[in-house]
Parts: sequence; C-alpha cells; structure tokens
Amino acid sequence: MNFALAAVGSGAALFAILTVFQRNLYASALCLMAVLLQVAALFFLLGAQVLGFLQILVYAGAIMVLIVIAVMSSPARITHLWADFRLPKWLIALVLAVPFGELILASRLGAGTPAFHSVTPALERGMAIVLFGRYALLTEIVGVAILLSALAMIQDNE
Amino acid sequence: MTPSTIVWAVSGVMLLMGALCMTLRRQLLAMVLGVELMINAANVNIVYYAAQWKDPAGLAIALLVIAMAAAEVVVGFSLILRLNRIGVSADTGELRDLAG
Repeated sequence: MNFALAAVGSGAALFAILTVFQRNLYASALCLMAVLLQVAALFFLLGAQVLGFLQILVYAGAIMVLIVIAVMSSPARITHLWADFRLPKWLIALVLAVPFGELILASRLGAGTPAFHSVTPALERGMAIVLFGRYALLTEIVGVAILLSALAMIQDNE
Repeated sequence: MTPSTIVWAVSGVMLLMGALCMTLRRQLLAMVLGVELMINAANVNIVYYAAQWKDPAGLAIALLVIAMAAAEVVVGFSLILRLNRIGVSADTGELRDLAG
C-alpha cells in the first residue's frame, strides 16, 4: 500500500515541479490542477474522504475557474506575454489521465485497506463537532473572511 | 519507505516548488499559484498526522485552511484584476507601489 501512496505522491511532486517551470501560465495552471487533484487522491488514501471531496470541489473546481478567469481578463499585451493557448499535447493528456486514474485507484484502495483507512466515520463526526463546538468562533471568523473576500471582488465605480 | 517518509518528501517538494514559484516567477498570478502549492503542502502534512493520531481537530484545521486559502485566492485575484483594469502591468518588476 506504500506503493499507492508513493505513486500518487511522486505524481504530485512531478506536477509541482512542472508548475514552476512552465513558461505558459495556462500550462502552469493546468499542472497546478493536477497537483490539487493528486492531493485529493492523497487525502482519499489517508482515509479523509470528506476533505478529499472538499479539495476537489473547492480547489480543483472553484479556484481553478478563478485562475482561468483571471488569466482571460488580463490585458492583451499581458495575455500575449503569458499564454499563447498552444499547450503541449502530452501535458494535457498527462493532466487528464494521471490524476483521474489515481483518484479512481485511491477511492478503491482507500476504502478497503486498513493501513490507509485510518480516519473512521467517528473521527469525521468528531471533526464536525470540533468545527461547531470548540472551534465555533474560528469557523465564524473564517466564514466572515470568505464573505469579506467576496466583497473584495465588487468593483467601485469611482 | 514508510508512509511518513513519503508524505514528508511529497510535502517538502511541494513546499520547495511553491517557494521557487514565489521567487523565480515575475507574474503575480504565478506567485499566487506558488502560494497555493505551499498551502497544499502544509495541508498534506496536517491531514496525515491528524489521521495518524486520530485527532478530529487536525481535520477541522485542514478544512479551515482550505476555506482560508479559497478566500486568499479571491482577494489576490481581485487585486490582480483591479491592476489589469486600471492598465497597470501585473509584472512584479514593474510594480513600484500599491498606493494607487
């Protein structure tokens, strides 16, 4: 089972390296998406299914959309400097194939193996109790921070 | 290799690459990507040790970190979009002040 963890981990490390050394910003964002999906696969392997799903929803979903919108909203000269839409085909194939394959593998392995099924349903229930019990104030503060960050997107007309 | 060695190695590489992305790249967007890499590196460690020690507080903190990272990205991108809107380049070499 260490093999699965090592395979997913080395994939995450590889795509993290590719994120830095891609000149094209779209390619960097694509590699970051692969890293985020593989981190979700790591969460699945470690048994934290809820966090894995949240990782996919929040990071690989919402944040990646924001990144693409930010790149597309750039002025033409910056867009020209950053990206030319000619992504390497091998990179697209790799990003699509590797993380999704690992996610499927991780969801299968994470469900059946005691070594990585370390987070029990009771522990995830405990997480919810901690979030809305001991850490309730912290949860409220994070909620307010998210609300304020959403307000930051509103444009003033002055 | 033990699982903890693998997790430390992966999060170490991700943290290093995030730091490199912050220092080597000049575009603000690429720097935000680097921050995301570093936050995820930290989160991998938090989740691993929360699972090892059966600590629900660790999982709760990891969830809050994900939420805060989302908020941080929104603020960062709103600043970058505003810079783009007023015609200022988002190249860190050209940004001299943020006073408006």
